[in-house]
Amino acid sequence: MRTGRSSGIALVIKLEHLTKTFSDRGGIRDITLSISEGEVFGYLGPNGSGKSTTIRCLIGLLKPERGTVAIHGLDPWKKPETLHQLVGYLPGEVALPDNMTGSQFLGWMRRLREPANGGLYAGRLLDRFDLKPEPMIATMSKGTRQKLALVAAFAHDPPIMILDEPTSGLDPVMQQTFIQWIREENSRGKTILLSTHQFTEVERTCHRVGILKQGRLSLVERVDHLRQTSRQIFEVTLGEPRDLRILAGPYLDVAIVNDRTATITINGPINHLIQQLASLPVVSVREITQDLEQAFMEIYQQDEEGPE
Amino acid sequence: MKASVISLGWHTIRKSTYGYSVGIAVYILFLAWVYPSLATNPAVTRLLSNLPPVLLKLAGVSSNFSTYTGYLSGEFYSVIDIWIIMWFVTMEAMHLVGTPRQNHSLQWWLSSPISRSTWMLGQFLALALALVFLTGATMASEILGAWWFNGGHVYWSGMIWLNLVALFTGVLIAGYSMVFLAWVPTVTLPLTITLIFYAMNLIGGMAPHLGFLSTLSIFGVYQPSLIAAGAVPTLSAILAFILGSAILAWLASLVFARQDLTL
Repeated sequence: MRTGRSSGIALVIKLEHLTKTFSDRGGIRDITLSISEGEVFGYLGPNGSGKSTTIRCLIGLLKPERGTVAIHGLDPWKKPETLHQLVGYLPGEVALPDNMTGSQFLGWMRRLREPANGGLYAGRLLDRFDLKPEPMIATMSKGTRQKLALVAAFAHDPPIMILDEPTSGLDPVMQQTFIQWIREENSRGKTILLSTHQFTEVERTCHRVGILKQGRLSLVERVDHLRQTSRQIFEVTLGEPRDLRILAGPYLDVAIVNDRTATITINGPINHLIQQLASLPVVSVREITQDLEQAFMEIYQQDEEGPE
Repeated sequence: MKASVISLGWHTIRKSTYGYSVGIAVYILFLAWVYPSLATNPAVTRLLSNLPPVLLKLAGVSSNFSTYTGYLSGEFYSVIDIWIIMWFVTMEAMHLVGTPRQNHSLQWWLSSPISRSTWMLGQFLALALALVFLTGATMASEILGAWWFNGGHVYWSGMIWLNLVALFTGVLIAGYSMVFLAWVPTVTLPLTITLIFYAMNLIGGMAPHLGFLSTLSIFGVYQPSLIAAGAVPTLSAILAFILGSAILAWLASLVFARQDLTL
């Protein structure tokens, strides 16, 4: 596993060799991870890779088989009531109690969280997400339920936010609002763990990402570094027509665009490309930037190709 | 214990508690309304006295029409009331603990700063509170029926003991229902155990050589006609039920605190 160093000083979330397996062979194995104060950490992985299991262990819903979990040094399995004062948790599968109105639901959450008073902040969140909580929850659309869940989870303005696929069901406008809100909360010093399938969310909000594959943490890296270290792709244009296929080799993949231009993917040090281009009449070399999704897919493909 | 945990539990089951209470009140008032005509009709008394006692017991019909409380103990308490309590307690325990686990809405309440033990004890107390409400509605209806239709003649001691035994039988059922639901969130187990207890009492009552089954059943103590007549000691049974319920509630909180919850 490749790991990136967290930039902060105080560790807020710490997992050490966390293992929790199920009879269907799902679950997580030997996860070691730490998240610093004020950091936004993206937790990526396909369905069934173990993202929600990790989060449930963090919240204290599941008891780890092996390893330790701590938030601010507290074990969520042993002291959930103390820990839940510090943490806001948005579950991946939003299942709200259908037998009450949204306002009643928010009211009950506030009463259960007393003495923490989230009234003022909850009001701000309602405005922010343009939510009217008066109707019965049973009659709300999926998107409205998701917004209500967001407000309910973070109405007490917790310093630590754990979100499991938070924008599922939100329209694009609300997704943008959400991303902006996450950035603002982070600028207020909050520590955020974000499990998602939305690469845009991760790119625009997260400092680091952890990529999970089949229950194991495949990589932890800074988002900007991840983009830089992924396979580099360049578009090379020559001053005169040449057959650029001659450049292809073990370190270079060449895709011809026209008789003067080709897209070259480097599978190793950039020197290989520079050496090859030295004898050619190069007019321009342009790097094609990869987004996080491409980087993610490449990491997955590399893992598929490489040994487990 | 946070009062809001109990309040939330009460909020969950309050509508059905009101519904059951209205049903009980209507039924008791109806029984109270027809009591004077039944009590003064010799043909009814003669017919009932000629029927086999076992059949009367099975049907929950009493031949004791001499007092209003004795009449209600046979016509309401012996079968209807205990069936209502059995059904109400197991179903509402399911609504409080099983359903939120099944539909995952429990994740919200457990993400607040309360322990699982507190949550479970709060639900148990909410259910006990609902039983107190049902008992109050039952007693109020009985008194109202006596006042409206029967010249206000109520055998207070019999009525109070009878309702207390019914109440704490319900609380005991709530205790073991919570234990099972803390373990597996389906109503099957508590309902089956309750029906087994009921069947044991019924068989023990009908077959004298199997009388030990009644003694083993939680319903063995619940003998409305004898309690109403003040013929059996009930205080010790009530105290035993309270102790048993407290132990079961504690056990339920213990089981629940150790469960993996894939919410």
